[in-house]
Amino acid sequence: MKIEILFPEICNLYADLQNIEYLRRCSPDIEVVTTDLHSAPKFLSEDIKLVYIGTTTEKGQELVINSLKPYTGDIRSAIENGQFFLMTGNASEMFGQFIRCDDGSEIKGLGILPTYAVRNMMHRYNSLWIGQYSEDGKTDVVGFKSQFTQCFFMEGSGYNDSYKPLFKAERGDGLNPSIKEEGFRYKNLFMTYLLGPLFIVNPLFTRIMLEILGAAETTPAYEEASMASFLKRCKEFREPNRGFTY
Amino acid sequence: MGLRFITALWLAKLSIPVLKITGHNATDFPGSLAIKICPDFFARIEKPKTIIAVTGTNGKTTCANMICDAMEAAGIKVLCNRYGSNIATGLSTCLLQASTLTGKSKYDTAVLEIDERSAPRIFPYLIPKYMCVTNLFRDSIMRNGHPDYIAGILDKNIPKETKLILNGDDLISGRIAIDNPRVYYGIDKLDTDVVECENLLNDMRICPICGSHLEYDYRRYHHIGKAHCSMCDFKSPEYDYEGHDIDFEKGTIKIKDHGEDGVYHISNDSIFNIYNTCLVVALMRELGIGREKLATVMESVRIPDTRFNVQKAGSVSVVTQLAKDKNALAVTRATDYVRHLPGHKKMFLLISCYKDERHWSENTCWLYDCDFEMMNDPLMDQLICTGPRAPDFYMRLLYAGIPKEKIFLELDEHEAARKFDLKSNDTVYIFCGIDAFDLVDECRQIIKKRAIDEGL
Repeated sequence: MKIEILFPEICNLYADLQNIEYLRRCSPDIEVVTTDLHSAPKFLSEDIKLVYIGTTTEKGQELVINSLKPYTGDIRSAIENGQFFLMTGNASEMFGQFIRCDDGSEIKGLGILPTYAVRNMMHRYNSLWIGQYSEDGKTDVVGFKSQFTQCFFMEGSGYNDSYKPLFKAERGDGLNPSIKEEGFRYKNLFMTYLLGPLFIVNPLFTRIMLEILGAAETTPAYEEASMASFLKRCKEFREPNRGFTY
Repeated sequence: MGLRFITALWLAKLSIPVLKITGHNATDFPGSLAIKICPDFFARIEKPKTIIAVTGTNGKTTCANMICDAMEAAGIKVLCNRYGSNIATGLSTCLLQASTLTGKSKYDTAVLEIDERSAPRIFPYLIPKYMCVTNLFRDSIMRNGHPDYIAGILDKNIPKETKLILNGDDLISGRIAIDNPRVYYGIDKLDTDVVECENLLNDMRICPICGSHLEYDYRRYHHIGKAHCSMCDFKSPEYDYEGHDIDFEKGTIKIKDHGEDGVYHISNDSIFNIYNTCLVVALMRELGIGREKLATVMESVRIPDTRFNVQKAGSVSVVTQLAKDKNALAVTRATDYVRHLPGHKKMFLLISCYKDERHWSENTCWLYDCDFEMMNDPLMDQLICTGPRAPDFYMRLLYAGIPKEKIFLELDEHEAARKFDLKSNDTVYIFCGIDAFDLVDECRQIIKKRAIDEGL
């Protein structure tokens, strides 16, 4: 299985890239390739199972949009044709309609996803997060949010049979503080605002993702240690007196 | 001067002895009280005429204290927030302590460590003559976002007339407030430098002008080094204060400015701290202190022992190494320093973000930005994971390739100190954050007592 990381030189905040390094360690069959800002995405011309893009800076978002703009139509077609994508943190914002800045100006996104983001650079939103994988409604998922933006569906769009919530929050917010649905899955595109090494802290969800990617026989690396830390975190995040947003 | 200001000043001053008598820390509350009573207190209280601000991600407390030591040794009376907090309330405490009952400053010069995130609340009311910036790296994910965000805050808020003393080897902090007057310090190429980045944190990979690949002529660690753009004419700045010929045996560095060398004492042999020495020398030279006098002055400059402290019991040494939790860079640099020290080591990790644990839980993403791989070292015999985040550290150390036989996992810190494998001639490094000093002391005492009781 080949995984392509888009723009690791800038889309690398909060150890997001360790998600893919972790998958690589799960199986010797996983090969990782990278694409920089000045190159065409490989998945448009090669057999790539999963395309990954992680969190970046505000300036980085503009660089990504500029880099991918010439390929917008091809990217849209690839997604419609079932290309696997994983976007963590603020990565999906570049694929949305626009990013609204503090001064009211808007940065035009690639316009592929029916979402937009609103920045508030003087208020960083931080949250612990616990919820469940929406597809089965029972697999616990833990994580962290730390962002300057909130994400919304465009008017007339929202969760439906095509845009399914990826997770549902038990504690913490969803895609934005007014909803409990977190992230979404559209065909084989997965996006979530949970950032950092999501797979490392979620061995159960890692198993699910490996299965979705066609590697059901693959065991998460260091699974016993990962489970021990995961179970402790689940217990802690359910403590009623534990602060959750910051 | 209004009644409200005077009331705020007097009540805040009065609170200081009350807090001290009742055993409380009087570094932040008096300033908070003053601002609560008089919201523009910080704007109104008189400041010393010459203000030297020190900021940056790492090393600002060390540098501010070194500058104070140097200035005092040079015979300059200086106000310093040495024990105070570095945000607006803490600076207010510092200023009101040093003011008369009518709010006039008793000092002509101040050295103030300033939290980089607090710049918007500080700089409208305080114009530093010099601003020293140590570096900009990733810091707390929750508070600081990313270095580019902090650079942006500094860009917007540093007063235009402030002269910057900048690290020429740091292409992030070296480019802040680009129109301000500035001088650069740095350290010339070292034998230990590399070209390719060996660290997980590497936040300057593309040209800030054209976005093309940045080529490093040499790299010290992370994004620190000398680089140029592969496409445009962007490159690292020339040094005004060029450190070279470090003599670790004699504990000196030569620093060239205006074409002539000075030879200065280095108070610690880590490169990170030698940068701090270069910063202090650059500032003191800017202030007009002659090379010869400065060389004598630098002899008396020491790293505060809360940062690096060695205690012995029998044949066992217990070394406390400050390694700020949530700060991947600080822990990486501390680890890199310790791994290069001679002899076998045991690493006692007390970096579980204890302050966060009281109310919520730490965002552990930083663990995977930090080079724990450096602890996969043949001279690091045992790694003790303890505290509330011990299972996360255990997982991280396995991920770093460290054999599980070398990792000791125990949630309770005191139990960990009592039970890990301690032998004669061991050197135990306690890595700790700033909110764990009491716990560090307790664990250190347990280890020292074991060394004596067990006849080690």
